[in-house]
Amino acid sequence: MRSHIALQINGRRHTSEIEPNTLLLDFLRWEVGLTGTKEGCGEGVCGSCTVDVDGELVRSCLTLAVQVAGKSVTTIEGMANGEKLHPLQRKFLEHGAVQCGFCSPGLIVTANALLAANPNPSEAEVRDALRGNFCRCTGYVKIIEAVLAAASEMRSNAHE
Amino acid sequence: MNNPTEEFSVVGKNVIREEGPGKVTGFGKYAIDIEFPRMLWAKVKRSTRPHAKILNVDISRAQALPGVHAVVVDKDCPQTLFGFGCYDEPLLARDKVRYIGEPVAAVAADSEAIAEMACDLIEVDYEDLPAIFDPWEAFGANPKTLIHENQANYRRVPIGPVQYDAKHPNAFGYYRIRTGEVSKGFEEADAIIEKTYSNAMMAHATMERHNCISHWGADDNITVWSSSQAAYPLLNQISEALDVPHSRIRVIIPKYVGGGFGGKIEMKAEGLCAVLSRAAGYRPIKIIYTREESLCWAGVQHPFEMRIKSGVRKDGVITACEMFVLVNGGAYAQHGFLVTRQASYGPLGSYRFPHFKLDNYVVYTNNPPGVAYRGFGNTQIHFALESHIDELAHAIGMDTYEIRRRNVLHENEINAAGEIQHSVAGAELLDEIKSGLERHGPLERVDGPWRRGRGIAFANKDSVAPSASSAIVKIHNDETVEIRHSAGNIGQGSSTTLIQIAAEFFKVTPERVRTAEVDTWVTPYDQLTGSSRLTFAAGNAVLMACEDVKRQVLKMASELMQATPEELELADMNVFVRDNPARLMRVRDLFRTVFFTGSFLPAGGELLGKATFTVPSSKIDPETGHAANDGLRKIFSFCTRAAQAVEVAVNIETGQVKLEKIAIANDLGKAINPMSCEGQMHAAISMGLGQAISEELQISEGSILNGDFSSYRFLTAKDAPSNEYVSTHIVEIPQFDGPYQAKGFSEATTSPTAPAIANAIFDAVGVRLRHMPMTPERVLEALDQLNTEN
Amino acid sequence: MALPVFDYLAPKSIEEACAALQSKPDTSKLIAGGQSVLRVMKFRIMAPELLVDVKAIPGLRYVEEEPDVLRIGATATQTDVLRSEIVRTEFPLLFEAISRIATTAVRNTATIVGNICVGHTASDPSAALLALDAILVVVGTTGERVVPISEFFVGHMTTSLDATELVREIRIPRRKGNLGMAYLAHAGRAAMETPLVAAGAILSVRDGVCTGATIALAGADETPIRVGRAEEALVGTRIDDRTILQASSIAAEDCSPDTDVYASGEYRRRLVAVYVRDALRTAASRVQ
Repeated sequence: MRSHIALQINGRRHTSEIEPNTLLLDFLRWEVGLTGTKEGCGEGVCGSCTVDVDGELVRSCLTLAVQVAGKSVTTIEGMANGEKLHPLQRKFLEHGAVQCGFCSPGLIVTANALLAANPNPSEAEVRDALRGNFCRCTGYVKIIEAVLAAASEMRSNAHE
Repeated sequence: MNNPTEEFSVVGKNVIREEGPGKVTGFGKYAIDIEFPRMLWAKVKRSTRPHAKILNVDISRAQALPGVHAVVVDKDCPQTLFGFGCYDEPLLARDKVRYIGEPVAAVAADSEAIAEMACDLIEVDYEDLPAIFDPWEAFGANPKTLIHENQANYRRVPIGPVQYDAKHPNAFGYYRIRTGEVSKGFEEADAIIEKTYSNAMMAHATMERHNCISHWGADDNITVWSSSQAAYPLLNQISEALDVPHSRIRVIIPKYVGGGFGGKIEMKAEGLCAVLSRAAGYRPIKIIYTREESLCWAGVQHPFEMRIKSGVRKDGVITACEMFVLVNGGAYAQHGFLVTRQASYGPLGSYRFPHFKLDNYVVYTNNPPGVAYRGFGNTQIHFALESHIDELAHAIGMDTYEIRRRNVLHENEINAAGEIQHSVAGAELLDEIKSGLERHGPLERVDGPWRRGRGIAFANKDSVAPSASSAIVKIHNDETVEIRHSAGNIGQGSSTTLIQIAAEFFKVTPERVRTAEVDTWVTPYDQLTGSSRLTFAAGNAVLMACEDVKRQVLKMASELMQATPEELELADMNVFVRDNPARLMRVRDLFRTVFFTGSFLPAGGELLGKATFTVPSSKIDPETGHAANDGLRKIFSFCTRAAQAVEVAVNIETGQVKLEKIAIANDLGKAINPMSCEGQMHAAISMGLGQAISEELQISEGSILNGDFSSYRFLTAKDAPSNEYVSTHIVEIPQFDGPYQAKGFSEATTSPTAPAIANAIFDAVGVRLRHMPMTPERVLEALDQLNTEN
Repeated sequence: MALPVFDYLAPKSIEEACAALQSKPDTSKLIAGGQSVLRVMKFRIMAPELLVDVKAIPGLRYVEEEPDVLRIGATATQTDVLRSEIVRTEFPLLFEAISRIATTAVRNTATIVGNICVGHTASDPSAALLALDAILVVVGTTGERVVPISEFFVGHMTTSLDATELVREIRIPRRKGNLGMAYLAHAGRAAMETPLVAAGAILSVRDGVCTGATIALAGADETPIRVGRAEEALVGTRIDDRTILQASSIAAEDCSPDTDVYASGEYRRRLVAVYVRDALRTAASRVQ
């Protein structure tokens, strides 16, 4: 029972025929070819697969593709503005918050939602917002630094 | 090779990592992201029994399922055995299964879901055999079952003492060290402590699960794309398992690998998928291990049992140490023997032992196999040793820093295995962590459920020798530099380290240097990404290849500049006369158009430097484990040392342990990229902390109960202390033979954490936890026992 | 991890949803956010032939206050509930319970109703709603019935919900008078784990004397439970450390926690004593 879906992905319209058991994660990765969204655990715990749907974070590994029909999905590939990296992406690089990088897309997408809701978070608030994004390499120290640094930069950019 | 006082322009700088942009934008392709036309998906049918004869495997229903293209069992595979020094493992279970999770059959299908359905349709008839899970039970002279009946005939790499002994028919590895006469040392002691320490099974839990694509081409060449951390060892294992020569196998490791930690060295499904590829009509076969497969059946950390008896004088000097170590190797040898050997030397890199005796066995059990794991056995050994050192200190009433200062090795000292020690950080590391923790003020003890305490630990990690690494360095006609090397960058940042080394050499910006993707048909031999060896071994190889290409540049330029190569120098891609720098030419001007073929070298060829760096080792006496006194006195490439001080809060009602503050110090010769080095050091508060308090693969009768991220307690950003209370101390004691005097260190970053926490728990609440992880229930049990005793 | 094959239906009305469930009572499964069901389907613990997704049914996504009751609709997400001002101010117990569930990305999709319908004992909202005496409005093909939440949980992963029924709404009575409430949970890591044990407590106090006490527990028995004897021990007493300790030790005696991969039953029992005590202390400190 394939169904037809139409949705926006990173600002572009996509249409597709999909099976009901197609996960949003696999749809993005294998049908659309956007492999930046990663699968770490497959059960909604590790956060690597986090994407933004209509302004809200979701776990793409626990979301059916049919459930996002008509919606607007933003993945890590949609974060940069053309060639220009998003401040979070740049701060992740500058602060050494990226090691193996497998968790980075989910972290950056999640941190972006945090900063949209709370442009001036405390360290504790950043840790709480990122609690569902597992990182095996970094011990989170530099990730937290990078998010706080990006927040600060985005605040000063907003004031300009 | 280079001048330590020299001012560097790239080395020592926080250069942004080469592959970083691909990671933060999501455009970098990991092996898990790769897809090919006509690609099929594989799944493995795994054993549900810990030890059983296979009576029959019925694959007919799986074969009949629409969408299934191949189903293979042992008889469809080459009848070989592969391994890592002990060759004992078939691609698919042969005649019997030895652990729950062992591959029995494999399927290739149009989709992962169909492959999984097909696996469910495969029926395996088993006849159960007695199973052994406890290493002590396995170790006996007359165990109730033999896990490898034919062990005596297995092919082995001869290292150290005889590995197979009929008196311990389930033991597959043995190592020993003998120094002095421990009984004499015990006579000199004022206090003797004898305790046993142990650890549970832990998972690597790389974020990118094990995966690969194997393609057996119609030309009979096999190409593999893998998430592996060791291209050439993988190539070799595929070759052995498939009985196909190296020349017909090509291993490609993408620039993006989602973590390794030792868990991606051995071959996983690469060989098996190649068999499926041929069976399915030469189609590419992709497999992605589930999280459960990746946590449980792609290799785990070895559980150790460690009995230590030591004597100490009142002045803190250790007089003797006797250790018996038993390693639970699981059902196949994999890295077990080498882990055993490496761990045996662990204590000797830290302290001076006038008398030392160690026996270390690794046994087969019907548990999932253990493999290399960050620290390579040292994490377990240092948990035991550093807990033990505190117990010695308490026995004689000495400060825990002081007892370590008394016994740590000094520069150029010959250790208890006859090995000369270089670049030794001892007191330096202890001073760093002491001031690092104390800058937050003294420990404040409070009443109430949360009690505070502090603890420290020291550790070290030797890097493998003999060791070899090759590199090719090419200068392009745009004066950019390309490094071809097979050092897999698994997240530690090795490619950027190599770029900085080359950029420093050529005095160019790091943006003008790049690394090639690891491809064994293009990039030259490297031993492996492991043993913290890349900065040292690969770094040296790259430097040597840079020198080689520089020689070529100077020679070519000398013909054009009317100067001898010896009179010329190269910097920032300018060749100039050393005594008259105004006389110069650019490297790009060596590339002159010949006829109409573009900008190439006039005589053809390329500016291509090649080099191989090798580290020899001394002959080692198998009876004593000592390095020969051959002028070299070398067992390992180098040794890196580490220390950590922690403050914990222990809840006496719930047993919870919280890491409140930590000071982390590592000795790394020279920090090529300090930011990257710090990132590695912070693993103490993720992997190290998890190992200390929460991470454990719970196993019952060979069956792992928590093979997922819901119940395997991988720690979160909220479990770590606030950044304010994390201090990171890079200690640079020059490594005389390292590139820019650098050496590797990353494995040693997680070893001190658990013992420091164990020592802090003791300081906080007076209980000694000798098993890790120190979970709340174990802490509470120890507190109950203490309360009963009082 | 791939999902098994199934058919998917997103009905536009409750009647349509119930009819779909009735057409395949043994092999259909209702989902709202799907955060539990899809997960267990991946592990092949459940393999329904038909998934009935109620998220598209209009009019079920609400958190509404009325003079006597707070109403939470079937498709209101956990995030919706957290964003409700009245939940934050008047039902801190519920707010605290939901705040600790997984993380924002999960709560944006997961519903409160879906969580309680799983019927797991280690459920934060279940214990919270049990403490708050919530009432569930259940709809089936034969009409509506009202089920007090105390009668909803019947066994391990089992509720009194029939396979063809759904929970349309949760009603939480608003309480008057001097009261304080708190919710405290314990897990094996600081986040991303269901509670080993959690305690929700509500204390009503008049003239310094406890007039009402509610203690609900997650993870302390086969289902989320209330500990009646412990509640009774508090009513009529002055709330102080002695009475609180007495109630918490009764709670620990009266519960019957299981051993699983997360913790032993014995450890959970000890946690009950600690967490009931601390939840009561916090609730008492909040009485106003």
